[in-house]
Amino acid sequence: MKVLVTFSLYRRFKNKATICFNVILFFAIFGLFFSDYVVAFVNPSFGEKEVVYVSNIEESLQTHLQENVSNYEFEVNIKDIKEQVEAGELVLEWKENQYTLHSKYAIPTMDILNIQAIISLHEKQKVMMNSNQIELLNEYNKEVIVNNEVLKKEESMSEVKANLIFMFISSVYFMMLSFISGVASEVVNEKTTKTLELILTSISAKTHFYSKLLVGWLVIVIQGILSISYIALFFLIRYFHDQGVGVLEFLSTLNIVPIEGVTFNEVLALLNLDFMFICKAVLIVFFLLVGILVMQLVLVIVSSFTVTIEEAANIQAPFYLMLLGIYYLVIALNNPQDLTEGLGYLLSFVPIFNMLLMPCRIMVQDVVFYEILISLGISLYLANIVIKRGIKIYEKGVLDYSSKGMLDILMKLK
Amino acid sequence: MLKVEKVYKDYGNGRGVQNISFQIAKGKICGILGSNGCGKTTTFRLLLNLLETDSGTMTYDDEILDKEIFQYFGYVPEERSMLRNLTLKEQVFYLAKLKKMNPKEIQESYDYWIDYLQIRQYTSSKIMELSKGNQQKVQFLCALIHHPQIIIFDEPLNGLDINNVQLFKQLLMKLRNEKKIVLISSHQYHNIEHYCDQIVYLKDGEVVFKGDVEKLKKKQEIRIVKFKSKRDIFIKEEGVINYYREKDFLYVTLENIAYASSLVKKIMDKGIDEYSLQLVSLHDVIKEKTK
Repeated sequence: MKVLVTFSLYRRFKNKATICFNVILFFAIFGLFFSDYVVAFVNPSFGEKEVVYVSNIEESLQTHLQENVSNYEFEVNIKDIKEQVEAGELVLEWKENQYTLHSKYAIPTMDILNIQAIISLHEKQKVMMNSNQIELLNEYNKEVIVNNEVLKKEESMSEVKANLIFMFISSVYFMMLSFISGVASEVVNEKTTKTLELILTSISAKTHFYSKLLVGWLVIVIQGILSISYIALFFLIRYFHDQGVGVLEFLSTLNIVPIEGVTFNEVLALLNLDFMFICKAVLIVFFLLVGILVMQLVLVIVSSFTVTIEEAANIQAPFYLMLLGIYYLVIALNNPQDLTEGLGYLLSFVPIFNMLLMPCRIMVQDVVFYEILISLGISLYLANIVIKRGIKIYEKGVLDYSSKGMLDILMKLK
Repeated sequence: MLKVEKVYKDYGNGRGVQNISFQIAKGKICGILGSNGCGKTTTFRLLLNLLETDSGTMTYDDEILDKEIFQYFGYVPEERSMLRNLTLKEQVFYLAKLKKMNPKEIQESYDYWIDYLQIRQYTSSKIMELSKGNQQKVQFLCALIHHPQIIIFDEPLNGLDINNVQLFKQLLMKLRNEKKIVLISSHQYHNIEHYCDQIVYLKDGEVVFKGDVEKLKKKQEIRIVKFKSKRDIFIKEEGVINYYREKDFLYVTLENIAYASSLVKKIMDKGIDEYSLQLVSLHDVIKEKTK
């Protein structure tokens, strides 16, 4: 028993992949416990409360808002509203008997409703203190509405659109990831069973490498076509059943589709499925495919160095962690502010990140064509480098059973 | 004719092969021998272009070995190299298709070899369900399906029972008669010595000696005297080159058979009454050459 346990533990932990995994895990946990310092270093303004400048609003309301709205600071405005909004600041103004929240990009609905509720409460308290019975009745029932006046409406997405687009991109992203891991596992299987030795007596390692990439892509394309067919089939069935009212209502209760009582037709109308949309969809798929290609290349190359199944599992684990990290980062950056001029904008040109961020931008903004070309060009250039270098590494890796590891072989490559 | 000339391969850690040279004519069986890690598998991988040589040339009928010529090779690796969840037939057809055979050719060859190797009853069985011996036969089948001119067997006897060892010997004879070139590695010298026409003995990646087996044996002639003795006896007599013990027997190698009678007389005086003169085996040749 002791021997069995010791042997298994030795195999699980005494390999370079596990050691690498633990080094990554070590730094990840370090990052978690010191995330405040990390974030302060990367983005010093992160976590600071955003300031809402109030204009033409009485001091008592400002104090009330300051005390009750936790995620914003409220300060008196002394500058020109238009200039401030241009600079990306928020201004709450009382004008023509209504409250308007001026912003460059759309503010989340929940934040507006929160501010609206606090103002409403303040108004009611004021009425109760100062009014007679009749006035009280009239004023008390008066509804307070805060309008969000957005400077760059075209870059602000509707919640329905944003949710649906991100749901689509996320599904495709994770589906593709599962398929690329399939290709890597195939390489591992062929290598660990030594079948590769026989296969490579008939074909070159280069052909084998390309065949694996092609298989990975074909699987994605075929599965994509199958999935679209299933969606189309059930969409049509549901359309003829009740035009999708039931399912959309159910989804709205889960806050996935934040509007109630709509039909498929209305959702499609909201999405503007015109020619431009189709062009955008094609571009999005292309970005995803190029990104997936790069990841697939890396995973297949890395997998070619594994000697055992355990090692393969340990190599793939940190890879998925990293991809999950990218996914969550993209979720955090999927807002108009970041996608237009923040970190999201910058990362939409960085390979791997751009396969999610550029599609997000394409769907919600009118991205300048040359920006799309630059981003795509960078990704294709990287893919080209990885393919060229990758073949050499792969040729060495697939027949290497020495457990020397990739780094050792990389160092010796001319 | 398969020619390997001055081939070097360095793995960068002092291992690999250095200055390997040998040639094998058609219809000859060559044993590539040596202890573990001596460079046998590396030599095979170089021949199959699974590894690149650092220098040297390898030719078959004066043509440099490249990927096209590799269709002439059949390879049985040391370890079971199969996709375990495929059936026997799927496995063989998959590898045969990679050799660019058409379905008709594959079927004809397949039918012939599954009968020859006596595995027809397992054609629908998955590889993982087969015994070690039958898995090895599937490997033979995969190596032979495309009628290769050169067949490499890396430790082919592993996992074979006595009957299958016999079948393998028949297979070797058949291949020899068909004028194929066979390279075979084994640490069980006694099992292959009767079939090898020539041997190449490797040590630390270098050829220690090579040549025609019969000629090598002839050089040694009958120079070994075998005594039955459980006791260790110190032998320091004129004409004795070396001696070694294996189980209950003591083997003494002489410079010349002429010394045999005087040696036997002296040993008998020490209380040993059983002795015999031995034919030189491959094992003896190797011991002699590598002492």
